[in-house]
Formats: sequence, C-alpha cells, structure tokens
Amino acid sequence: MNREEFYPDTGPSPEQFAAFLDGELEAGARVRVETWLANHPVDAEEIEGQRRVLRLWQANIPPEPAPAAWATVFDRIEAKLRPVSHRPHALRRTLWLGAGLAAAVLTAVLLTRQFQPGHATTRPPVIASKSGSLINTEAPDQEPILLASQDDVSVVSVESYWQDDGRVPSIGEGDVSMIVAAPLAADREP
Amino acid sequence: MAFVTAPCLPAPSDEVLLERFAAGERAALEELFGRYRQPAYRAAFRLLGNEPDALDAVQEGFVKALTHLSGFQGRSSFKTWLLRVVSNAALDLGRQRGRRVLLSLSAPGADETADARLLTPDEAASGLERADLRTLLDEALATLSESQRRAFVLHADAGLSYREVADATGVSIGTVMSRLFYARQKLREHLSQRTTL
Repeated sequence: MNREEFYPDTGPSPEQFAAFLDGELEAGARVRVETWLANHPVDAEEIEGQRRVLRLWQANIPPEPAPAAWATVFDRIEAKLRPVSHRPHALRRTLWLGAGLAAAVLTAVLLTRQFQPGHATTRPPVIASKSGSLINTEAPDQEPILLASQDDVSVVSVESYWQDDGRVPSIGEGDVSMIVAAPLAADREP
Repeated sequence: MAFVTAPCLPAPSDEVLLERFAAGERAALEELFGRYRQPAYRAAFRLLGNEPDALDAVQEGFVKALTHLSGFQGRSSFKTWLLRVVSNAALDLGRQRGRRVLLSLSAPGADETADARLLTPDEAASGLERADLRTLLDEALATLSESQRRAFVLHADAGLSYREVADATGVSIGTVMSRLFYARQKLREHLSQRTTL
C-alpha cells in the first residue's frame, strides 16, 4: 500500500506537522506522517529542526522571581481587589453622603416644627426663591410674594423647591431653588 | 496496629475558589494566585523579556481577570481566561514600553554575546551560556508576528492545550496549529543562523 496516497501532492499540512510534533496525533495519523518524513528528507529536516527548537526552548525557562517579589505582587493585587467599601476614597464618599443626608433630615425636622400649629416660634421663617423673591411658608404653593429682602433676613438653610404636586424633590434631583430664612430683627414684620 | 488517616480532601475547583473570593475570602485569592502565577509569569516574561515588566503584566492580568469576571462567564476555564488577559496585558505593556531586552541588545557589548559564538542545545542544558541563549531566544521570538508569538508562548510556556489557546485567542484550533507550525519554523530559521540547530 502506498502510504503517500493519504497526502496525494503536498504531504501533511502544517497543522498535521504541528500536531505530530506535539504528540497530538492518533496512532494511524502519526504513522502516516512518519512514513512521509521517511521519504521526504527536506520535510524531515524541518520537523527535526523544530523539535530541537522546542527542546532548546524548554531548557531555557525564565528564571523564577524571588518569593519577596511574588509577595509584593500579591499584596498589590489584593489591595486593588479590596472591596470598594473598604477603600479610603470610598469611605470619604460615604462620609460625605452621610453628612448630606443628616443635614437634609435636620432641615426637614426643623421645617416640620416650624409648620406645626402652636409652635413656640411666633414668626415663621420666610422662604425665598432663587431669584430673590420671597414666599410665605404657610402657602408655599402660591405665587411667590416679596416678603423681605436680604437686609431683613438671614439665611437658615438652602432647600429644594416644591413640585407642582407638593412633593419635595430629593437632593440632587434638581437645582436648589429655595432659601429658608429667618427675620433679622424680631420687631420687624415681613 | 490500626492507623487512622484523615480523609484527603480534593483541592477546591477554580469555580469554588472564585465564589469564595467573591464572598471576600482572602485565602481563595491566595490559592488562585498560587495556582496560576507561574504560567502567567512565564508567558508574560517571554512576551516582555524581563522580570519587572512581566510581574507588572501578571499583576494587571490578575486584577483585570478578577474584576471583569462577567466577560469570562464560565465559557472557558478560569486559567484560559486569566492567561488571555495576562497575555493581552503583556502585549499592551510591550507596545508601551518596548521589549527592554531588544533595547539591551543594542547596548555596548551585547552583540558580542549574541553573535560571537554558536551555541548548541547541550550548552543550553548545561546552563553555562544560559543568559546568552535566552537573549537569542528572545530575539528569535521578536521576529514572529504578534499572533504567532502569543499562540506559541501560551502553548510552550503557559502550557495551554490547542483548545485552550484557541479559547484564549478567539480563533479555531486549526488556526492555532497552523500558527504554531509557522512560529516554530521561523524560530528555527532564526536560531539556525546563530546556533548549531
């Protein structure tokens, strides 16, 4: 039987030669390549040269890093993979967010107390729009009415404006548009 | 006399370790690092030619592979995914920094070690001219195309199978085999001019 009939013209393909060198061919295919090489010295020289390259390559593996170098790399990897909540900048962000929320809650509490009937404060604070006109806190849904100027009041806090539906937008939802102010002098009516 | 032996627990799979890592277990990360640092380093070293850059690539590769596990999604082994990312990182670093070994070849005296004498595989095995031979191998590797270099290094140095190299590089197994053949052919051509190959 002429074994070259398996490779009629060109012989084994580069893929078959690669698999032959790596020992990945099945027994029958390996024998066919071996037979081809036995009859084709140029190919045989090429494959033998490649085999020597692989031996040379494996005999010269890169030197291993020192244990201390590995430890440094691991520490850096671990630091970069540390959960986000443990990172310093994330902690700072969390603190700022917490402080903002606390301020918002405090403002809401103060406003609620101001709106309660019979509250000790006889003069409700005035609320001013960003444009400088002021509105009465007792009727925030009405058109702004000029109640006081900056000479008459001091700013207590800055808050978001009420929506049409009476909902107070959350922080960050829109521009800050309300200023809660208190009269500077108790004997001056707005 | 009866001996009581503790049951030998099989090593946890990569999938189990990844779950433990996601739950914040440091030991799981250590185990994964210990398992794959060597093949990752060998591949990166071959692609970059020096230890500091190779360690940078390993570090970056581990971080990226573990922070982008959604890209992995279990379609291949974690080893394949990791070595894909590490080899990408190494090739990127190589483009940014250049292979320092090639720069060192142009340094005074470097040509003497590279060209002055022929080296045999036996000399390589003896370790007497290991540094010189490694320089020659680095130089030969640099003559390959990037795709050939990557396939060859992942197979020869990281120990990936054809299938794994195909997964890591996004090509067919046949393409991997073809690249390996032509990579070795080119290496042989280059090395045969300077050694007794």
